[in-house]
Amino acid sequence: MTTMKTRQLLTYAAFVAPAVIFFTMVILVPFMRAIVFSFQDWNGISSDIRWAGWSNYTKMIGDTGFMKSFAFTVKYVAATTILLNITGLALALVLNLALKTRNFLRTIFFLPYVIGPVIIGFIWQFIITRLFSEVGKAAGIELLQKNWLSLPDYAFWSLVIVTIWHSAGYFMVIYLAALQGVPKDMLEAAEMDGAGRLTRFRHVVLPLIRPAMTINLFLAISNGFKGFDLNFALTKGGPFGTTESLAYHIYLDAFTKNLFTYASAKAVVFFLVLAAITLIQVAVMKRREVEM
Amino acid sequence: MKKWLSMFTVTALLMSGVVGCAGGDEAKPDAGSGKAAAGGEKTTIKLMQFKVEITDKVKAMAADYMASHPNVVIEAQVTSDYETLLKTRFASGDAPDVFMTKAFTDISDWSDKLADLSNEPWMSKVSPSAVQGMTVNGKKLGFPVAFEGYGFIYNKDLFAKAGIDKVPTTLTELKQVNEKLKTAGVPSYSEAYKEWWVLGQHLFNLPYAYEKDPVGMIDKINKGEKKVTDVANMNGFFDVLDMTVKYGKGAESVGVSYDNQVSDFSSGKTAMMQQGVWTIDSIMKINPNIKMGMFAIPLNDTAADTKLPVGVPGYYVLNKNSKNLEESKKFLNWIHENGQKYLVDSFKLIPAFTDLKTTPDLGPLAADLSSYVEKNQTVPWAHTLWPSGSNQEFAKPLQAYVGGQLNKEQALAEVQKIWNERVKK
Repeated sequence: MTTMKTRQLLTYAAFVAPAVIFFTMVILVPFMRAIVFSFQDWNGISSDIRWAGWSNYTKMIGDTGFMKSFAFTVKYVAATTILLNITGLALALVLNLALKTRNFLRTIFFLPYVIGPVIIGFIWQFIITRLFSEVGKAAGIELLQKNWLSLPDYAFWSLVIVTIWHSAGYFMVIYLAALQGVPKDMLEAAEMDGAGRLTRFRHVVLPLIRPAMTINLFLAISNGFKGFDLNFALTKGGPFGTTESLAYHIYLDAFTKNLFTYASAKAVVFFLVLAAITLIQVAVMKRREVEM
Repeated sequence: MKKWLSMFTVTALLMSGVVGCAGGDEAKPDAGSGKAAAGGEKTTIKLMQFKVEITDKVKAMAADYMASHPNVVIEAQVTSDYETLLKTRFASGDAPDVFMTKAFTDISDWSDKLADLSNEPWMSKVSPSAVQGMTVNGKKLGFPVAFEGYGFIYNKDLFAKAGIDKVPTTLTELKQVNEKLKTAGVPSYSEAYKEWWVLGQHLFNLPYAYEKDPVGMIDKINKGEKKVTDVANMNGFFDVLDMTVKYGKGAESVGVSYDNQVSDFSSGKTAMMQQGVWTIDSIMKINPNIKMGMFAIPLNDTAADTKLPVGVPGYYVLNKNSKNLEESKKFLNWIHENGQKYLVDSFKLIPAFTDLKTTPDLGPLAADLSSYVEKNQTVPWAHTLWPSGSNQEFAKPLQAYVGGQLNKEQALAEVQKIWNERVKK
């Protein structure tokens, strides 16, 4: 009996250990190190590292740049989370219909997600600054003739649009999977009872795809907060630092301003905020899920 | 239990984000780089540098060195995201043996990792004006790769078309040139103010560089004895900035990237651009027949004050903890011995050594630069004296000024604030 148990335990360990080891080495140790760094004073280069107590944290209070990029990030997360889920769900609903081209279209919509965000940033930078103005001139649309990346509001929406274009397909796939899990008989029963299209969607489909919503909201929120590549490749945080995401802001502090430990402190605060937000979101959404 | 598990997963995923942002593992200085040269094994010299324009040529040079020195392998890495990668490689124990730093602030930040090169055979041949930027506490730490300079690069055909027969040497003349170009229907500029270095570093360098004593002035600002507004030619800087915006892309200049700027100029869409000698290859690739020159940017109406900012963009430095320090020194010496072939003829750089000569092959921009150097009409790259990282920060209020979000006083107040904060740190 005991040998059975140890064997089971060993098998279990053998399967879990690689993941745990990598997680510890690649995530946990650096994470702990970042926390330690946040109480130190170091420029990232010299061999002289001093202890700094809470000074990195107190310095943050008056840091307008940090606050600004925080505000930008929150705005960006709100916009992308809402739009990504709406477009993702809409695409999924359409492609769940018996269209002839639906497999083809599913691939097409998912395709942008396969391309790396940095490449996408460079491609869209070209499209926005060069192609938009050409199209705008040809069609006489004034909106498109402006250089979007030079105006704060336009630059913000450029980022949102490119994010949606990039990730909507991924959210679509998750919603599609959920939609296909909705039992046909339940829908038919509702139809028999006289429920119209909208009622069926609101009262049968929506509650049943709640788990997918939980996942998608979580993904959208955490990806939005962690957004870095697009800001880096598309806007470089500009114009005048108005589109500097938190992650990009922290990166700049650490690697260009040589404020390595200060950046670590910001990252720790960032982690706490993000953890609080997403834990609340997941907890609230979980409560609303319906199990079948 | 299930709930607990999902919470844990969520937290774990989030942590990966933070680690991605702030990451960086403990430094392991003892984890030496490269294999030991002992036992007839090959020595690997790891070279890292940021001049992406010459990537292929650096690799070709490395290949030549390996061919003539069969016991040495050179791993050359050229990257534009240099600062990040360099720190990451040091932090991960994969430090390069030979790498590049910029003058003054940057080289002194790195100085406790650098080998003293004062006694190297080539050191006596370094051009005097390249020495100060690499001297930290009396030790000479760097091998100057080149001299570079920047100003307004102009299209000679478009200037002729607008009836301009002489390059401007004062602010008033510059304005006249712009007016003439406007009358001829040629846009003067399409300035890449999206790039922090075009605006916040190169253009903003000018008023500091035009100071009688740039080192002393910046030192005083650092100490809080002087303010940014005390810099004599600050108004002239804003006059020039206004011109590049007014006769250029307007407020939308802050959305123009380096590629856009260079391609607009090269294809003859604009008559001028504020850039330096490093653009020559990119311009020639787009338009090999272009006739162009470069002139110094005036900030006032005294023609004698108008000088070209010339500096050393990067120094090769050696990691003093490297196991291959001696091999690396030999390598630098070899580069100097073959400097004419590699630094000048192949990299197309203007040599910062007295025993290497500029050749006509370097093109019209280098020729104009040399003529300023010969007449001794040069000013330093004062931005290398600024507190580290402030050049990127300065670009933001200046971009906001170009975008019409801040006026001149507000922009300068922001610059002063950034400066104070960076010094305080």
